[in-house]
Amino acid sequence: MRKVLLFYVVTIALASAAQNPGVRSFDDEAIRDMLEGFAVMEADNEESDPYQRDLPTVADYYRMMEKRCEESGVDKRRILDVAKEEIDRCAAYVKSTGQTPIANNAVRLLDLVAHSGDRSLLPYLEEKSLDPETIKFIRSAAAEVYVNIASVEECIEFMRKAFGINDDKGFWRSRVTPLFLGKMESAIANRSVSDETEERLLSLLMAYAQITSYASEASWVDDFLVKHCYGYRMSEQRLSLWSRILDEDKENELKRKNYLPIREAIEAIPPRKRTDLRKRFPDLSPLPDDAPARSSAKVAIAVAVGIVAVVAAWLILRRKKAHEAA
Amino acid sequence: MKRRDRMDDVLPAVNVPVTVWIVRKTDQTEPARDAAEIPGLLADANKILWQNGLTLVQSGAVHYADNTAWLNPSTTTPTDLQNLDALLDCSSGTGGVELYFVRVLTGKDGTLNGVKRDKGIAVAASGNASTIAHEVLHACGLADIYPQITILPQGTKVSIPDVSAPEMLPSDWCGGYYEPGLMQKFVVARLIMSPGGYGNVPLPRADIPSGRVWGYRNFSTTGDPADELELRNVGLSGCHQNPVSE
Repeated sequence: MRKVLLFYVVTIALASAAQNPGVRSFDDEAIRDMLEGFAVMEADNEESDPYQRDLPTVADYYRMMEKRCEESGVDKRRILDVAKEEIDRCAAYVKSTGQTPIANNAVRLLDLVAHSGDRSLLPYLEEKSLDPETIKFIRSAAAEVYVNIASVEECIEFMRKAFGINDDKGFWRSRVTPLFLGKMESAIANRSVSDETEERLLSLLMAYAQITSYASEASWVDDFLVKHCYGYRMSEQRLSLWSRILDEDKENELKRKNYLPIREAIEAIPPRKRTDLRKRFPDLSPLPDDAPARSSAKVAIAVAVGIVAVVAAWLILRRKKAHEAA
Repeated sequence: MKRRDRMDDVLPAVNVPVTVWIVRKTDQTEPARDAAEIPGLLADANKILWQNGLTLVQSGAVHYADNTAWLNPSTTTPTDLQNLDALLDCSSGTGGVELYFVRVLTGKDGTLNGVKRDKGIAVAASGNASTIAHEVLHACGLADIYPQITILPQGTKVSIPDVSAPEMLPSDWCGGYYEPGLMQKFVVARLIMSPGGYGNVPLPRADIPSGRVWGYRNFSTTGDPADELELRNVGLSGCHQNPVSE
C-alpha cells in the first residue's frame, strides 16, 4: 500500500514538473533572485538601446512577485523579509566600501516594497530613516516609504524625530518634508484629521519653525502654517523665523528677495498688535527679544528686599532726625 | 569620426571637453553635488576611460542650474522627459560631453545612478566615477551587457551558463590569459558596460575589452533567455565616435 502511495505521489510530481518546466517554487532563494534582478539593473540608455524600452514598471514587478507568492502558497511577507535583508546588505556594503552606486540598489528595493503598503514595514523603515550610520540616499528613500504607508498620526510622530536629525543641515529631508506636508494637506482637505491631531501637527511645525536654519524646508512649513494656523501670518514667531534665516545668510540675494518682504510686513505692524502664539502653544521656545525669564519666586523676593530697604532707610532717617532733635 | 579601424591601431589620445552643470534649488541652495568633488570624479573616471584613449577635461568653471524642478528629474513620462531635456539643454554645441549633476534620478523601472541622453548625461548624487565612465561610453556608441537575466513573470534568474571560450570574446582571447574554467558571467560582470555586479558580489567594473563580448543584451525577459544572448558591442571596436552631447 505504501509503495502504491509513493508511486502515486512521484508520478503526480513528475507529471506536474513536465507540464510546468519553467515553474520553480518561490522559496527564499527565488525571492532573493528576483529582488537582486530588480535591484542591480538600470535602464540608463533608453534612447539608443531598444532592449531597454517597454520594461515593467516597479509596480508591475512587485505585482509579479505577489502573484508568484500566491501561486506557490507563500506568505507575501516573505518578499518584505528578504528585501529587508538585501537592503541591509547593500547598506553595509556601501558603508564598508564607499561605493555609493550600490546604495541605489537599496533605494530601488525600498521603492519596490513600498508597493506592498504593508504597515509591518514601519518599524524597519523608521529605523533605517533615523539611523545616522546609514547613507542619506537610503535614509531618505526609507523615510519617503514610511510617510507613504503610515497614518497621519504616525507620520507626525515620525517627523518629530526626523526633524531632529540635521547632520547635513537637514537636506536629507528635502523629498520627505514636502511629501509629509502634502499628505497632511490632503488629510485636512478630506476632513480625516481630528482637531486634536491637527493641533499636534501645528504644534510640531511651530516648534520646528523656531529652531530651523534650513530655508527651503522652513519655507514649505511656513506656507503650511500660513494656510492652516490662525494668527501665524502676523505672528512674532513668524518674524523670528525669517529674521533668523536672513541674519544667518546675509549675502544671499535670493533669500533677501524672497523672505525680506515677509519680515518687513510683520515689522510694519506695532509689536503689541502682533500675535504671540505661545498662549496657544505653551511649549514654544522664548522669542529672541524676550527679557530673561523671571520666576514668580524671584519677583517676590525682589519685592520683599525692596520693601525692607525702604523701611530700613525710613528707620535710619527717623533715628537720625530724633538724634538731631535731641 | 571612426576612432579605430584595426584592432592593432594605437589609440589616439583624445581630450574630451566636459561642461559641468550642478543643479541647485531655485534659491541657489542645496547643490546636488559639491563642486569640490568634480575634479576627483573626473580623474577617477579617466582611470577607466584611458583604456579608450579618452581623457575628460573640465571646460571652464562649474555652472549652476538653479531650478528646483530639475533637482530630481525623471524619465517616467513624456512630460518628465521634456523637463529632463530642458535641463540637458542648458548647454548645447559644446563639442564635448555635458555632465549634469542632479540629486535623484528616476526611471519608470526605478531610480538610476545615471542616464545618457542625446542632449547630455545626468548623474545622480549616488553615482560615482564608474557611473560617469559608463555613461560617457554610451555616448561613444557602446551598449550595455548583463551577466544574468531574470525570466518574468516567474522571476527565475539565470546567468550566462558557459565557461569563457574564444568565440565569446573573439577580439580579446589571449590564449591562456584567462584562468582555466573562468565563467563568462564573471568576465562580463567586470566590464564597465555591465550596469550591475554579479549576485552578491558587486565586482569592481572597469574593463573595456577590445571587441564584442558574449552576454545578455537585456536584464529581464518574458521569453527564452537564450534568445537574449549575443556578442554585445561593449569594446573599443564599438567606439565609433567621440562622446558629444548635442
